[in-house]
Amino acid sequence: MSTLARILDVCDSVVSMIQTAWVPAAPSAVSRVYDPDIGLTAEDVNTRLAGRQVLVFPTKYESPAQASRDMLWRKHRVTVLTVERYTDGSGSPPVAWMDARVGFVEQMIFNPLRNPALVLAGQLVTQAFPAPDEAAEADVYDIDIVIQDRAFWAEVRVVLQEPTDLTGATI
Amino acid sequence: MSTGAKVKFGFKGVIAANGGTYATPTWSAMNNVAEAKIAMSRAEAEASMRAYPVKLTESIMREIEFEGTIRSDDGDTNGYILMEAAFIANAPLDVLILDGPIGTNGSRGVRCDMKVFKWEEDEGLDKLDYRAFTLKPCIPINGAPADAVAGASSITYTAMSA
Repeated sequence: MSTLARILDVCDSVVSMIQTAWVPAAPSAVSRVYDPDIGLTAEDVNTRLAGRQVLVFPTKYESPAQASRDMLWRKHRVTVLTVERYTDGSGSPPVAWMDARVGFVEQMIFNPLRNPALVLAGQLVTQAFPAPDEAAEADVYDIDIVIQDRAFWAEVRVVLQEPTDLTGATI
Repeated sequence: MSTGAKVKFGFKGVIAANGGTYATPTWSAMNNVAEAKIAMSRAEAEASMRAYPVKLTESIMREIEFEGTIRSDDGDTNGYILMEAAFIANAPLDVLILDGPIGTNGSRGVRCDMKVFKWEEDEGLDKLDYRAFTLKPCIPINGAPADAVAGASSITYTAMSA
């Protein structure tokens, strides 16, 4: 029996999808994490953030309804955080710099993950798709972090749905 | 100590189509069925007479209607495709409807030749496709409508009486 939780498999599939579309250049990266060290200030010597980091978190899963006599729908709630420090100057991040990050989140993360035709597959999950009755949502940016830390911070929350058998296993 | 039925779960109810002969049926459960409701009642007939100073009513023919939804699945030849084909061809299905699994002692219901009278699909933007269907008994070509009670290894069919 695989010990990989289905929601982690879904998150890994999201990581792969973003990785393939974005192709980040180091130190920028996309990864699945539980408790990332995100150092945004000069005092965070060992954990100071480098490049643009796209961090995929498992948030919650649930079986909201039975799909049929032998099938369940399972919903996986996934959060994708995009964070990047502004390092080019001493002042606040300029509008063009922020615009580029806001556009990145919309076009590389939100839009693909909310495409109704998306079907993701991983090791266990064979057909995870955006839950048609759930809204995806994005915080465009965090104004406090822009002001205090001169960094871009945006969360996208999506709900992906997949069918399982009554035991929660792949069908 | 009670020896009656244990708790029955709705989702364990079965609607199955016969893939064998009428005498030796081979039941294939339609597991893509989601919502399911069987409505049974008896039609009423006026039976008042001068001998009794009350309005009298008699029950006559039994009315049976099975309403449900089935997940649209092109690979489901035992359920979705079978029912669609029966609807298009206006052909009866030899159907078994039980309130529990086929092999469970005490599961009970009916067996009838039935036709598909409704075959609807809500293709709304926020929907996953299911067909809403209605089955009703039709003129039997396989066998008379029967009540059915399952045993552990067989099902007893009793022709419905008036």
